[in-house]
Amino acid sequence: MSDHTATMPMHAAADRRMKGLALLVAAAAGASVPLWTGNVPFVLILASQAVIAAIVALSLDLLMGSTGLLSFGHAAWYGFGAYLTGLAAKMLTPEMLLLLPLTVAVTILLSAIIGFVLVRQIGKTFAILTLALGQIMFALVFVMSGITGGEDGLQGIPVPTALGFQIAKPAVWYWLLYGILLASLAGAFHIRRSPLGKSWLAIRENTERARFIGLDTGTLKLLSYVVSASLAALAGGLFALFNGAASPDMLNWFESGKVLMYVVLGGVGTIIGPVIGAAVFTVTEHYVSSVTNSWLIYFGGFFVLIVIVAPGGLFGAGASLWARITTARRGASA
Amino acid sequence: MLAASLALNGLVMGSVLLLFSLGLTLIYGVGRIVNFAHGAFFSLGAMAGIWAANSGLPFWAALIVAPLGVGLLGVLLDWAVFARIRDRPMVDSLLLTFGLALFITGVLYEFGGRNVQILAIPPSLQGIVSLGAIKLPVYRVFLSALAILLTVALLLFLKNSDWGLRVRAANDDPEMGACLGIDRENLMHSVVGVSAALAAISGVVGAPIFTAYASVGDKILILAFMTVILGGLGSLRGAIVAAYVVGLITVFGEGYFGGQLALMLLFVLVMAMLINWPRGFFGEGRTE
Amino acid sequence: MILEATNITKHFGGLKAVNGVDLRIVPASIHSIIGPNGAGKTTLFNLITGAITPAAGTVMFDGVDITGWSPERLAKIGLARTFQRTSVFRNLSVLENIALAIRSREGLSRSIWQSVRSEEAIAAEAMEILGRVRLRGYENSKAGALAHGYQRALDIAIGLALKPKLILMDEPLAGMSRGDRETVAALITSLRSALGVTIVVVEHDVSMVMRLSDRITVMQHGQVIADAPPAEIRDNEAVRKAYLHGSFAT
Repeated sequence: MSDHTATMPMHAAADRRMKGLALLVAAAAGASVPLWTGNVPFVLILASQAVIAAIVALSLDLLMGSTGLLSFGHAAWYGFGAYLTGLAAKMLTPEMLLLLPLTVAVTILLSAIIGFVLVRQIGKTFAILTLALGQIMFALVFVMSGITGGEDGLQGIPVPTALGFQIAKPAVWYWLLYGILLASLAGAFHIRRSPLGKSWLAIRENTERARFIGLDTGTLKLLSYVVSASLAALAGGLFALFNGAASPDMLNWFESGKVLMYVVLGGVGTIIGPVIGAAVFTVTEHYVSSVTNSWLIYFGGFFVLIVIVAPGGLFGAGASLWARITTARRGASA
Repeated sequence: MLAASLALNGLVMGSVLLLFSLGLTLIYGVGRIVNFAHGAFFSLGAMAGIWAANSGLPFWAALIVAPLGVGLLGVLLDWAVFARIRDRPMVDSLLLTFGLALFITGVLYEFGGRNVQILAIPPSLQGIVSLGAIKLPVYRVFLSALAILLTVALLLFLKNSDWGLRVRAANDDPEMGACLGIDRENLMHSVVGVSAALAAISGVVGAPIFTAYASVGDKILILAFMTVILGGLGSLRGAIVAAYVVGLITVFGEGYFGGQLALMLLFVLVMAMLINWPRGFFGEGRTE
Repeated sequence: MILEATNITKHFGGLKAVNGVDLRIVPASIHSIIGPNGAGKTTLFNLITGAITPAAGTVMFDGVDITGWSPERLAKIGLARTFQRTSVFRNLSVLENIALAIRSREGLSRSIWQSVRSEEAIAAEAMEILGRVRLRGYENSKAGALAHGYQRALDIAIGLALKPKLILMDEPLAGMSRGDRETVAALITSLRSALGVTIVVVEHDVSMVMRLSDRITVMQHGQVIADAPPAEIRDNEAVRKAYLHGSFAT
């Protein structure tokens, strides 16, 4: 017993070093995409979209994976961010260093108000209300069709600038988006290890016990909701600026379903899993939908299958398999 | 006069909503499942009405065939899919029904659900009834009468039959139900079947008014969710009152402000209610 | 008195689950509440710990009126509880289970930055608490992987980490083997003598309660029928009747 515990930290340290190295290699590989896709700008655009999807996935995992709250309408905040940024870009300024903070600030305010009611409900009511919120945001686009463009979407968003320089080159866009993803990932990992992140996990684990050790679960859940909504809105804002347009489809519940799928596929609460899930899914979706136009069937069917067969996600299933292999090897070497 | 006519239409809407929401409440009560696919069953019913009409079946036949078919599908789904996650955390059931909703919607897209279609009203139900100065299409009167009739029949059946007794026992306390020796598997199969059939029949009879396409059930699903939250999750009498409240709000909102704004109004109202009364009208909503 | 409940009443439908109950707890004592099934013990417990709000009556804790307070607030002023169905954070490590409670007590739960030093101090304190409940050596295990008796000890340890003045234990011996019962009972006695914490226990195991307690409150049909030291309870006529007519498990 004592032997076992003594060797544990060494393995843990080695594990951490291995994981760190793997992350570094993956990060570098991701950053190199524009270097080898120079001839096919289309691939770079797809990669950029995958990165945006990854940010949205991460935002949802900050809610689902932290406090265990299930949002079925995350597209509400994604779309909200897109329309808000797009409209502000058309009306105020194309400077993204003003636009994006503005979007985040407004989202924090609005999501705090809505979240205040939402997080106080039981899990099922929360889930239902998030789905409804998605439909409400969808409806809002049509209520305000005078400025949002209604069914046609918001068109003619100007090319954005950063510190006055126009951001137009695909490679620059990619690196910008990728940098934001890495920063968000770093932030998410940092929060996970902080007392706040651990309190969130406690709520996901056992909300009742969390309350009885004095954790203010209402405030903690609200914090997680606001952080999650804001990051989703930021991703939406980036999408609008990147594409120069926003469409009501971004607010459809299929979109919320996709985001949910990224997270479930990648493994709820693993932070990196949903990011990978989003990237893989976005690319797959592109190629599948170029072959068949009935991808919703495959998507829905796959969704059902994943929930039944691998509720921890593919990444989770892979990780547990990996853990089994490594412990077996350790057992053999000891 | 507009107000009176809207009120009548609100009652019609409420009746359909009630019939539809009952299935949602039933499946929640017995299985503690929030069924996101309930709207897809509605769409399936509506589309089945169209398919039946296209293949020459009369409206009446569709009215019987569609709920039977969708009900059987419900039993099959419960047996093949829902049963796999019976003892899993609540999260999985939410995700599963959500995925199922996507899947069914996807299938409907493939079978003619991309275009908006209207089911023709049978000749015997065409025409207008006049109540003084207020005019209401015969079909809407028929629609509400049928919805109310089915609701009452279901409630009576729940109250008096052996099946109803078992449903109510499981509704009060699933563990208690198990103690009473209730075969939960078969009970759940039947409950999902009945629930799906109710959604489907709402879809068929709604098709001449709400039209039929792959995602026609989305909107009524949201309205039904607002209904069950207003009434308190799992509360039957709450759902009955709330269905008419939501129906009236929706129709009046549409009449005066337009459909999308009415939906937003409803959402704000529900949120406002939840601040003070998180358990619905009668305070019977479940908090587990 | 550290805890003083006066005329506490709660109805469920027409049923008076708890009806005009008075309860006085002496500081640093072990006070047990017993009674047949349906006597209202657990309801009384939930009324005190903020899980439900009483229809009438007041609860004073250490000179403060805490009637209707939320569990969060109660935990912050030093009133902790454990659960009948053991309640721990199953997928977190044993050490983290304790650390969460310590951080909550210190008001650090929402901070994003945590110095290595304070994290080390928290771990050191957590280890000390784990030593007290004999869980040292398991700090890195997942809480859910512990044996049942150890989980119960962890549940108590989480409560202790709040440095409570009073800890309420809901059937701490329920569903345990004979040996585990002895261990937990010994633990409860040692906590009182080592830390001077007041302990209120709701229990079914009457023989254990007799040995453990300084004072016993007996409930029946939502009311207190006796409140005295164990020796007197044993000879109390009303209690004997409750034993015979009620359905005491042991």
